[in-house]
Amino acid sequence: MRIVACALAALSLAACASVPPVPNARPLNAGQIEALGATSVAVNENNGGVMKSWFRQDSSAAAASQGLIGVLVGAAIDGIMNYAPSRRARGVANELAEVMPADVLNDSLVRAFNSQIASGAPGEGVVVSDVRTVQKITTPGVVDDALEVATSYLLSEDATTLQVSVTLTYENAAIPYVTPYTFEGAPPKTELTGPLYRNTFTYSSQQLPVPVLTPELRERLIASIRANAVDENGAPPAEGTDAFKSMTKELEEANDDRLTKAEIAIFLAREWTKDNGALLRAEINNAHAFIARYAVLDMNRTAIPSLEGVDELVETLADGRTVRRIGPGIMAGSYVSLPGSVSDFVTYGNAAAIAEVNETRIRNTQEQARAARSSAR
Amino acid sequence: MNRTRSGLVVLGVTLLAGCVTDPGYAPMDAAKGQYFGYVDQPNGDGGHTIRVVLPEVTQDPRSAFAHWERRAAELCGPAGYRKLVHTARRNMLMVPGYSPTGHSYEVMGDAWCNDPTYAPPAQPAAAPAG
Repeated sequence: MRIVACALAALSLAACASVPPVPNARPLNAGQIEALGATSVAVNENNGGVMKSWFRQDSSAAAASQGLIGVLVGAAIDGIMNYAPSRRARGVANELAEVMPADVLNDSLVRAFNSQIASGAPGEGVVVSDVRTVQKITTPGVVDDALEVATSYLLSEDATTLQVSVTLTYENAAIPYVTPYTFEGAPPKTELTGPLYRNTFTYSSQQLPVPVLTPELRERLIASIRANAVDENGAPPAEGTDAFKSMTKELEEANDDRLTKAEIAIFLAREWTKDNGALLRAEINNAHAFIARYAVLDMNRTAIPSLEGVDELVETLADGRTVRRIGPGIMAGSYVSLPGSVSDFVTYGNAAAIAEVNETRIRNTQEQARAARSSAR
Repeated sequence: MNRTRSGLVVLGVTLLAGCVTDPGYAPMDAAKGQYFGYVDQPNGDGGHTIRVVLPEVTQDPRSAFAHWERRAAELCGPAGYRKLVHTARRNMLMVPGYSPTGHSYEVMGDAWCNDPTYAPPAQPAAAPAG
C-alpha cells in the first residue's frame, strides 16, 4: 500500500515538471560594466511599510470539491480561524507603522545609496552617480538606464526576526539581455527578455529571544487575547460570532503549557516598537547599508551563477554577522546577511498584514494615478 | 499554477509526507533519495558549513541543533570548535487554496575547528575486537 501511495505521489508531483530553470540572478559582463559606468539609482517608494507575517488558514481548494455547501462551510471555518490572527497581525503592523512610516524607510534607503556615491570613481566600473525615488503606482514600467531598487520588510510569524528583502534590476533599451546559459532547445521565453542585471539581497535581523512561559506571562497573554477581541467601542464579542469563537479557541490554547509562535509574537512585537522603534530603526539602517554596499560590489562582479554552485562566506563582521552568497539553486548568486547566532526556528506565514495607514496610502496613490490617467486622455 | 495542478501538488506532498521518516543522525544523500539528515562542506574561510534538515514528522525538532553540534564535533575532534549558527527555520509548504503545512526543520551554520592541524579520520575507527 505504501509503495502504491509513494508511486502515486511521485506521479502527481511529476505533473509539475516544466522548463529547466536557471538562476534568478543576472550578472553583468565586463563590457556591460564598462558601458554602464556611473549609474543612476531609482529607489522604488515602498508603500507597504513593515508588514507582519501570519498564517492564514485556507481551505478553499479542498472545500470547492464538496460543492456549494462545502465552499460555504469552508469559508465559515476559515473566517473563524483567521479572525483573531489577522486582526492581531494588523495591530502589530499598525504599531510598527507608527514608529517606522514608509517614508522613513525610503529616506533611510536613499541615504544608504547616497553614501555609495563618494566611494566610486569614474573608470572604476559601475558606480552610483545619483539617487532618486520613484513611485511605481503613479509611474509604472521600467526606469530605463537606472538601477531600480524594490524593497519588502516583513516581521516573522513569532516576531523574533525582521527580514528585509530587496530586488535590484537594471534595464537599458540600448543594451538587451543575452542569456549566458545554453539550452538543449530554444531558450525559455523568460531568458529572452527582461533586465540586463538582476539580483536579490536578503537581510535577517538578530533573533529576539523567546520568552519563557510563566504564570504572570500567561495572565498577560489572556488579557491580550481578550483585548484583541473587543470591538471599536471596547465591547467584548457577542456569543456565537466569529470573533467570539476565535477568542474562545485562543483562550483554550493560552491555557496549555507551551507558547505557540503566534503567542510569542504578542510579547515580542513590543520589543520592536519600544523606545520609539530604536531596535527596528537600527536593524533597518543595518540592512540598507548592507544592501547598498553589496549592490555596488555585485554590479561589478561577472561570475555567472550555476544551479550546482556552492555557498560562499563573503564577510564575517565583528558581531558574528555573516554575509553569504548563495551557491546552488534558483537563488544562486543572491546575497544574504545573517545574524551570528540563532537558537530557535523562525517561520514566515502565507499572509502579510499591512498597517491601515499604509493601506490608505496605497489606495490614495492608486486613485491619484487613475485621476492622472483620466485627465491625460 | 491552476487548481488541478495545485491539487496534484498537495496530493503528492501529502502522500509523500506519509512516506517520510526521521532519519535521526545520518548523512544526506540525494543520489539515494535521502533528503533529510546532515551535510557539510568547506566554507572557504578555513571552517565547515554544516546543514541539518529534519522532516516535519520528527518527534523533537530541536534535535536538529543537537545533530549540528554532533557533526561539528566529528569534524573538529577533541580540540573543539568555534561556531556561528546563522539559520534555523521551519520550512513550510504553501499552495494557494490550501492551508500552509510544515515540511522540514533546518539548521545551518559554520564551525571553525580550534586545532587547524587536526584532521578527522577518513573512516570511522574499527570497533575493538572481542
